[in-house]
Amino acid sequence: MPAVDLRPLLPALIVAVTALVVLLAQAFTPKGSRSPSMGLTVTGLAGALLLSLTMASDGRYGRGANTGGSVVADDFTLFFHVLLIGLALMAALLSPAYYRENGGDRGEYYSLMMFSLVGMLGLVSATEMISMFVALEIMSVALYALCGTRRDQVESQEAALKYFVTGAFASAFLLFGMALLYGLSGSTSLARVARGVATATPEQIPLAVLGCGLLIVGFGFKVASVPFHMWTPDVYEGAPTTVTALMAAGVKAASFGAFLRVFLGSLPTLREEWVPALAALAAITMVIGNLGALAQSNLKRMLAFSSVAHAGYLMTGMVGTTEASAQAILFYLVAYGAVNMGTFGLIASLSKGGREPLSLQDVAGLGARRPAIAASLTVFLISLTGIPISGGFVGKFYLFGAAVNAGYTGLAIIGVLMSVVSAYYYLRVVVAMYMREPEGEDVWSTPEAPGRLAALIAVAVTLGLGIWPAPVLDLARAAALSLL
Amino acid sequence: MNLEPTLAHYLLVSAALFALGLLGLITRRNAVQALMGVELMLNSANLNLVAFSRFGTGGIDGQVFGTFVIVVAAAEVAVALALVLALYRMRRTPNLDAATTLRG
Repeated sequence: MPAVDLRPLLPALIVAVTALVVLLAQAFTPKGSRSPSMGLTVTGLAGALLLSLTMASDGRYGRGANTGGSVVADDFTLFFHVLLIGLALMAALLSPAYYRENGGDRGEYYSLMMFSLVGMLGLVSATEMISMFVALEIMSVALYALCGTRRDQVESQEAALKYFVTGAFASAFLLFGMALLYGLSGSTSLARVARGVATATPEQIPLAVLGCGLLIVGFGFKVASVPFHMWTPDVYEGAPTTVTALMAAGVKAASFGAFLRVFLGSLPTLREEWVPALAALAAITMVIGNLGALAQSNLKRMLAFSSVAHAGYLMTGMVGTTEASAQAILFYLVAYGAVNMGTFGLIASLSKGGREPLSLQDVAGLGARRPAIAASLTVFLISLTGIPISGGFVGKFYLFGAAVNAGYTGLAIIGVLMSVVSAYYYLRVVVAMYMREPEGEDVWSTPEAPGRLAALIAVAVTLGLGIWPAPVLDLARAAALSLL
Repeated sequence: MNLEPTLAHYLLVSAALFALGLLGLITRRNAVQALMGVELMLNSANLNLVAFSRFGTGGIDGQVFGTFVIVVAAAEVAVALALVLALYRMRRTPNLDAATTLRG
């Protein structure tokens, strides 16, 4: 057996150790003095990000190293690691101002965020079902607690409990599906599962299909696809906004990472069975997500339904099951992650004294009062709609292209039509910002330097992906190739 | 008559447990009882894993998996009970359908 090389685990280890240090630092900070949590968090995450970038750009630093078969450091993993750590870093930058305005800037918050990130990092790199399940739970359990970090607010507590109940439900389905696949193949390794499914006898096929179906239910919950989306609006609305940002951007990306690795990477032989199911789910997800968003007046709820709709677009890309579809999904996850982090981040950094700008009246006239913020929000909403020169347009172009190439033209048409519908509720916000007269006093806070930096990064990524998508497309392609 | 249980028996019991857990999770109003439903579902999967490990070709992997699941479930319940308690302090009820602030 060749020597096991654990260097690929280093970024996740750095994040985990930083989380523990932040916990301890919080305990030893005297009352009244400034907490070092945010500084430590940003330092740790930046270190992990640099290390991931070095590993991704240079093969000598453990790329593709033998890690004993539980996790793998291929291009797919590294792509997601850079994305996820980057998103968490932005969420950390946005947090201090938000928590100061809304009560309780505590070290536990940053630690939980990093524990959740460790779970996400593990989820996208796991090549074995035990690791995948444990990573998923590390991510989820930390998030349940994160949703409830605003202890004085009943919405936050309610969101946490609702997220827990549905999340546990999803985990149980996923676990049962994994158990069936283990029974079929006699191994928890995804590669051996793939072999077991490929050589299954006719009597074993129903078992494989049932396991596959249960996994779709489990992942469907995590990525918020219809009919497993009922938790999304409540949880997104009730959770602290910076946590919502991490959920919408990071959890969705990590869950899709595992979804892709299991289905495209390990269950391609059952394609005939799961592709039609996924196509049907994608269609109803796009329709219900977009129609649901039309009816919302609360921005966070509207973005929650938009997150459901985007799960549908991403699943549309997945029916292609080729490397082009994986490439499209990876690219779109970057574009979508940046946009979500930016939108929720701006809402969070405008919040003042426990209130956030959540209705159209709240953002009315923002274009005149806060030109920079209104312009950034416009960029994000344009990207969510999928209008050219934004990353969202390029991403949707490739996603629907993958569906068309797979023969699912109808699905792509539904996607395009639903994007047109979505323009109504996204651009309604833009219209309110620029065309309506502001009402009352300007009560919102001015975003602080870290928040502005995070928003600036999000704008740059969104426009960059729209104007010059080639570099990220190439990286996504390399990542997709290492998966299939 | 052979009374030795076979793999099929274990799978049936586990499927029944899963269904009962699901039913409990969906129908129970009390958050603690819903939690029990979750536990039942996770443990039915555990039973499957161990049965496959005992009767199948899977070696000991399934039992290792089961052990991990038990640990994870314990952590999950700890967090969940904390959340139930936090909501109980505000609402004075452990009922899930009292959680109706968020809707739309």
